[in-house]
Amino acid sequence: MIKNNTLQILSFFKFNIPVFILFFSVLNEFDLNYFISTKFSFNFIFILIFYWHLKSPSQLPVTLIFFAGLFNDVLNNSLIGLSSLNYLLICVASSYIRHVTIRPNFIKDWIVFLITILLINSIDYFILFFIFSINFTIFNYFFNLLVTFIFFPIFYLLFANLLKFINRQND
Amino acid sequence: MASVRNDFVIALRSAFLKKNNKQKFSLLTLIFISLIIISLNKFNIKTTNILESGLRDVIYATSSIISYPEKKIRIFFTNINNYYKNYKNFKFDQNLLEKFNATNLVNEYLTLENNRLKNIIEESNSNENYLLSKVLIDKQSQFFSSIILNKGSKDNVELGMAVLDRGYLIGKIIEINYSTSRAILLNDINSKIPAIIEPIGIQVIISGTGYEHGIIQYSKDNYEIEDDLNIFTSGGGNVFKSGIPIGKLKKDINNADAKVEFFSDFSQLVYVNILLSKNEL
Repeated sequence: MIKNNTLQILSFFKFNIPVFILFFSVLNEFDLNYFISTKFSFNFIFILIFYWHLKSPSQLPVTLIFFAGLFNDVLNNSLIGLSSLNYLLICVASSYIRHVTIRPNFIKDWIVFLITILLINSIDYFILFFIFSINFTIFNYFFNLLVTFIFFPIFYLLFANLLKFINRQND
Repeated sequence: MASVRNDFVIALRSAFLKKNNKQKFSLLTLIFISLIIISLNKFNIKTTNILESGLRDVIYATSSIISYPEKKIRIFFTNINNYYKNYKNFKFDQNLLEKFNATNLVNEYLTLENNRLKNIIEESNSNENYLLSKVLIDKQSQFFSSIILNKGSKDNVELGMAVLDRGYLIGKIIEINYSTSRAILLNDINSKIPAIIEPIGIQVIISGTGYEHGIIQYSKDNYEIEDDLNIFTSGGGNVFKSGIPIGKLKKDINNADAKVEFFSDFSQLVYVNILLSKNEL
């Protein structure tokens, strides 16, 4: 009985690894959404949400993604709701790709990811600059976007292995 | 052609509206909620502000707990690094100390003389009241630079108060909750501080860049950029009291403008002082 309960708890933790990574990266002081250093940064959370919502949406519920966005905004002192909107738009793009794709293709995913983050950053820029008149360096934003795009394959591979590991454990 | 369009619409509708087994809200609903929350930022509603302040306190506390192990690891590596640096500097500092001891005596004499002269012209000395505060969260990137402190409105912290690290200005309070507050750092792109370059006495505005250094955004007069000129708060605009050290002026090799090297290292903040008197007027 005790053994069964322990296995159930372990299985629950394994299944929810993406959720834990998401909240850890949002709540941790070491910004995983503006990773590495102040000069060289990329948005880890964008890759995380895109991958898991594309490959295994049940493991990363959109309601939790929405709350992660709110937490991120509160901690980063940005517009409350903006990160949630960004994350949900990534979910829309990955959902769309999942529905129209018959044979999954990495290159296609990568290009869609680029288009999605370009769109999201444009929306961010529009909301922050034109509606709320908030000052920020566009170059840094663009650089962050570019590095996020370049780093996508590395995390795609890591997450693919993690997904395999989780599925194997659950089987 | 029509079937392609239909497929696109079906896929898009499915992406927006389809819900998983245990999911209560569709993506479209959550996107609408996000947009409503964003638009609420435009309006200053009292009830929303109280709720937001409470929510911020809870999230800061959670983040502080989650960041604890990482903070300890970072402090550990910083300590090792500092140990080697300190040992190297020790011998050099010993010689300096002897010189400073001599200078200190002169300074003491000058301070006493200054106080005596102030008494003669009946200028009151402001009683500075510092509040020691712990840095709960240190949020720094090129997009924002701020720290969350463990003192809030219950400790009489007010908006605009100066935040100091070992006597050096590092920022000011921009957000207050019941038990926490947020201070924007000098290197934040939105930070603008009226300052004075000494000993030449030029009034300037120091602005953050998002990186470790700041820049002189505005100066009233043209001046020759020289290395190692000290920069202090000018007391202009009643933002801060005058004479708080900020940093040193440095020539930028890649740029005609000078850059400001702050005295304090913003990545190493653990405890800071909040200057409770907002300004000596």
